[in-house]
Amino acid sequence: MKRSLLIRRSLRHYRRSHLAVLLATAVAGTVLTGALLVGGSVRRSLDQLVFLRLGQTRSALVATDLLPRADLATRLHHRLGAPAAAVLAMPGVLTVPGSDRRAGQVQVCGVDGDFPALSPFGQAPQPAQGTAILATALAHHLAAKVGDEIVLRLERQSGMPKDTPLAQVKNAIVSLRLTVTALADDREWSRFGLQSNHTAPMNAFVNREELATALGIPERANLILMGSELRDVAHELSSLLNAADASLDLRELPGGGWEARSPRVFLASGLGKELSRRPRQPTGILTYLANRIEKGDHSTPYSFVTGTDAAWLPRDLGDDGIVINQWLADDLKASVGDPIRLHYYVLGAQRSLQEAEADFTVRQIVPLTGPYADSSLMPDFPGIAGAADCTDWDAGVDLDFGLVRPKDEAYWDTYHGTPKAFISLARAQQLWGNRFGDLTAVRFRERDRAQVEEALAAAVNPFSLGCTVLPVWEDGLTASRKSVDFGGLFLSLSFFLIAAALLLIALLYSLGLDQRREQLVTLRAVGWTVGQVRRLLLREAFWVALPGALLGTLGGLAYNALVIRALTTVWSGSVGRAPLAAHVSWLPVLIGILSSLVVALLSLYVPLRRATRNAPREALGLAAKRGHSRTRLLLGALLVGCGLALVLLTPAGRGKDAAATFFGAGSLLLVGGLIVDAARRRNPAAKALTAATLAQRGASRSPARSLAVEAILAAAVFLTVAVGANRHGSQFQAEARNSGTGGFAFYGETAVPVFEDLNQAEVRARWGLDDPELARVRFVPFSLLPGDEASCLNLNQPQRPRLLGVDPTTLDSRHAFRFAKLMPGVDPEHPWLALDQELPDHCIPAIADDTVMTWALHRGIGERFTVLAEDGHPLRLRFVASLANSVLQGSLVIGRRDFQTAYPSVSGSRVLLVDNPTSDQQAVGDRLRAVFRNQGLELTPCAERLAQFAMVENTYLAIFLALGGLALLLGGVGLGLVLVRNLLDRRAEFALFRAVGFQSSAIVRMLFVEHAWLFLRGLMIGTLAGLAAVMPALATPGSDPALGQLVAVLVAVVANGLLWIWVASRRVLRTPLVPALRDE
Amino acid sequence: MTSSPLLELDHVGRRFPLPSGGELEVLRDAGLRLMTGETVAVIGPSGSGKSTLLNLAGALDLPTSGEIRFAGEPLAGRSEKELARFRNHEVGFIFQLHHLLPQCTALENVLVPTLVPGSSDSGSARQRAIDLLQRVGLGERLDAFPAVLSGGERQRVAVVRALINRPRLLLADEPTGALDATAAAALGDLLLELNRELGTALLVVTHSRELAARMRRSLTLRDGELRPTDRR
Ligand SMILES: Nc1ncnc2c1ncn2[C@@H]1O[C@H](COP(=O)(O)OP(=O)(O)O)[C@@H](O)[C@H]1O
Ligand SMILES: [Mg+2]
Repeated sequence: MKRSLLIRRSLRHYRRSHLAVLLATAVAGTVLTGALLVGGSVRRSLDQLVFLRLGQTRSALVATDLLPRADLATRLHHRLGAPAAAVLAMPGVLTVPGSDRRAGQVQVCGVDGDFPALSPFGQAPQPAQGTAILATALAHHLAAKVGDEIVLRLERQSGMPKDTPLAQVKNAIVSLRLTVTALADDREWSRFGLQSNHTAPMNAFVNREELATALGIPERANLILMGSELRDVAHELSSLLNAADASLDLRELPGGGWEARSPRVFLASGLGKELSRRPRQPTGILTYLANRIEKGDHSTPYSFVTGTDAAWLPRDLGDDGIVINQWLADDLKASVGDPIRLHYYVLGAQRSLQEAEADFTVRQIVPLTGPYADSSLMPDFPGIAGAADCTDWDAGVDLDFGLVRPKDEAYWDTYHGTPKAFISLARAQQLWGNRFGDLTAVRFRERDRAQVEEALAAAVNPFSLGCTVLPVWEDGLTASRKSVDFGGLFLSLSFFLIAAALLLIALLYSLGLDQRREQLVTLRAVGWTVGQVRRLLLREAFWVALPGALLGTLGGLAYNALVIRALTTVWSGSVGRAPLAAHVSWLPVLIGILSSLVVALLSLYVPLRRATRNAPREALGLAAKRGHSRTRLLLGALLVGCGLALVLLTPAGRGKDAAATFFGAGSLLLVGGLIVDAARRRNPAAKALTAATLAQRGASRSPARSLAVEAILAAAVFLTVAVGANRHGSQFQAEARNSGTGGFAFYGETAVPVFEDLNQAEVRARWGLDDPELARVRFVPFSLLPGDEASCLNLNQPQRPRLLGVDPTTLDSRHAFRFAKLMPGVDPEHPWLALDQELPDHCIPAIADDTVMTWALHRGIGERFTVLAEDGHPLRLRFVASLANSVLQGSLVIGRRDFQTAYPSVSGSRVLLVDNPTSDQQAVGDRLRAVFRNQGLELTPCAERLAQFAMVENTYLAIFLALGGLALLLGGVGLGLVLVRNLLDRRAEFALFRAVGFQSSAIVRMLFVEHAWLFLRGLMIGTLAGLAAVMPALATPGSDPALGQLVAVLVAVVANGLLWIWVASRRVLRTPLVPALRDE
Repeated sequence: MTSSPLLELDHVGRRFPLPSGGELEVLRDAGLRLMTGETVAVIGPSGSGKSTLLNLAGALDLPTSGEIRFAGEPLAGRSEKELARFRNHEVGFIFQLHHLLPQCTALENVLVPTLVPGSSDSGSARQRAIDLLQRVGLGERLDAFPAVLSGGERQRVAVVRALINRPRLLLADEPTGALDATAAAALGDLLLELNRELGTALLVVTHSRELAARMRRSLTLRDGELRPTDRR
């Protein structure tokens, strides 16, 4: 005979108890493997989405200010051999004429014939002129179909940043009327987009050239998609970009040489820097409008002044030297040495111009001839350059034409914009340089045009253009790799469920071993060592656990499918409606099998060890082991103490700390509580013998059994309680300034920016915001840099999060929002003002929601986070404060000034927080949507937006609850098995009770009390531990636990449990007792 | 055939710790000398420590004081492995309840001692098991599971199991305790016959005066000490 035969015999003979262990192992395996598979599925789905989003695109040039020519794509294609495509992508508003169907956040993509080459499956929209192809998500949203007429409204692109001083914003909206000729789905690259969001973008594909022409930027594109990796294109790009890509016009100067200027008035500042590094340094020119030039009482209106280092000016002008022409000298009656004052506009916030002044001393008076009579020194200010008359100027700023005298008209007629005064370039740049640039022209001495072009082409590179080249593919994959780890999430959510399953394994196995204790002694008596017996049992158990683990894998596959299905349906709130699909890969399956096998064997090894302890009498379970209950009591108390200390030491909040506390303190309290309870149970002590103490003694007969049942129940209830306490209620005080709404009524986002200050009376009048209904409505505007959504609605880890720029005083004066944490040194009374602080290390202060910082960006207060500025340079942010659960979740907030410095081409405001002191939310909302119809305002009540965010968390909790429910089920199974076993084991005892005159009902009562006692203690320990563990999260301001619901659930659990115990106890009466007596 | 002592207990004591903190002294000063092939009965009131004594003799448990020697060699100081080997080769245990593995047939149960890892399992053990089972009248029931055997048959299987490795000492703890009078008498006969045929020494704990009387010597365990039984 072989040992393996003995094992086979045992497996067969004890198949029933083995089957129970096998099933419990399968449960653990299901949960383990399932969690891993779910994690893999989510990740694979997100990877898949990156592909659907980017197709063959590996890198992309993103231009926000100066747009390169679209044929750059062709040049790149020829140079690199890899596909490249030019795209003009703009936010827009889509309406269906003759209906009220509209979509405010449409991504309008102008594409051409190169586009399909980069698509995921070789197919992509190629709309002809006059037509549009809509992504199905958008079509669905609009209920639009093929053949429908649509109107697209977009911001006009003059090539000039809208906030440029002296530029105009008239006619800012362009509309395109198009016919929908097709709908595009995932296979036709409908998900095209550069942002790492998993929501399907609302894409409308139109003809690129048609769009570019309509927007006023023919042949330009703002995205160049490339099929080559960043490292391969970076160098080529610089050499391929030329003066035309930089929108530079070259014109020959009358006196020989060439001049480069830009239709956007100011040459990009990077370009000026790059050019000044050239060997034959060209001459820089900055010409600006002076509102008045004064000497004493004499004043000349609206004159141009040029700053330059040209050779025809004195070398030593310095900071206060000025050269004026004869005409001005005559007009002002000025002579050399006289003081002169210039008044001019500088740009304030939101296009408000402020007048500033500077003082000079006349150094020289020059004739109006030669280089001093060069009218081309004036840049092509739109509205001014072509004007026949001074009074025809249309500069988009307030000019007082009453000041213009006939002699001024005469000067304009004869000399046009010829500057009347000259200062040094350095001083001019200091006064008039702005975020758009600090040169209006560059002049080259070279006579040969080709030479000049070469010099320019050498200076034009992505940096000097203010473009960024992004490794979008790598970014996308990083975002999905670092996405919310659903595997880990489900593992930790299932932590207590797995613990319950393992306890159940141990319990079931020990119930099985109980039947075999004498065997173990026999084996030892015939010469087996303890180790050999244990190994034999382990080998046997292996053959139980292995099929259990394998079955668990099947369960895991089902679990994966089920959970993914739930995540796309009932639980879709937690994943922001990401399209997920169940994927299966070998690694998680393998890990799942191995780990469930190992944990199952480990947990049944505990009772196995106990049962094979040394002394035969103990092994036979005859001598109830009396441990050192005093030390155990102490140990338990110590654990409980540690748990409580941990709870008390954790600061209120919902961040990582609170989560760690939840699991750490939760486990400590649970284990500690159970140990204390078990120790007490071992000492029923010298209590007088009554029916109740008799029951307690019954429970103390097999303490391990009782402990296991109690532990499973406690773990399950712990989960339920923790979830219930964490769940957000639905009502919160939305009006309060210090709530998550900031006291604002609406959160609005527009497709086309709003440039003006909507709180100013004349602006309001112009927009129609001055009627009584809207008169008291106020706005807090934010500049928006689109980027990855950073809220919990995005599964991906945001790589380039959305940025908001705000004037901190607007929020500070309202005391808006509640702060979770502040960096030391931040004024707790005025945390918003910290955005305007200068930080010692030149970092830019930033504020974000606490959850965004902790979970999406993995940063803490005071830590740094780097983003890219518009010109591609890294911009280091430092978090100075965090908000508690606000409507700003999803973006990082920085001060408006810092924002504009870093992103000069982003003009106007696209995010609005709206104060509505009136009570009629609905009506005001509708009115505002109508007012900003052309801007495509999407207005969400702040309370609703908060609820969307809360839904994510609540969905997680629902998942948690479902797992807790499963654990309760396991607890129930455990309790049931123990109950039945106790009944069987003690039939003789009960028979005896009856024999000595107890009534049956008394025995039932005793049994009931005994098990109900066990049940209630498990519940109590779980409840208390659960409540304590969620304390830090509960103490967070603004949390609103659903306590009523919690109590209801607990009552239901208790009632249900007690009912079944009662039913089971009563059954004992039906089993015949006399045979039981005879058995023993 | 007797002369050299097979099993010697010198001043053996065994105390168990009590949960209250004190100790329970079950054996105080037990002395015993068992010659090769000798038969000895131990009687005593329930709870007097008979099983404890037997466990010590079979190295299932260790004394807290005193010394136990087998064939002149002390048991103390041997490793768990050596002790297991000792139990495997030198002693056979018979319990009051047969302690057969319900999952194994009669024959397989007899062979369990030969399954000890490292023991040289040979076909001869199997043949010997069959012979022995035939010898005790179970030749027809080799493949029967314990559940279908009578109490007396089970106990005979247990005896054969104890003898499979030709031990020099057989330890029986109330072997007839669970049997009716006829079966008990038959088992007693069997044990003595085997003793005669195989020369296996016999240490039997029993409540049965009849069985005790059939042993060469009888000792009484009382107050933790072994004394010759008064034969009145
Ligand atoms: N492992 C043990 N732990 C504690 N007490 C024990 C242990 N083994 C035996 N005892 C105690 O020793 C005494 C003698 O037991 P035992 O040897 O089984 O008596 P007998 O076999 O004579 O009836 C009993 O009171 C028993 O409770
Ligand atoms: Mg006994």
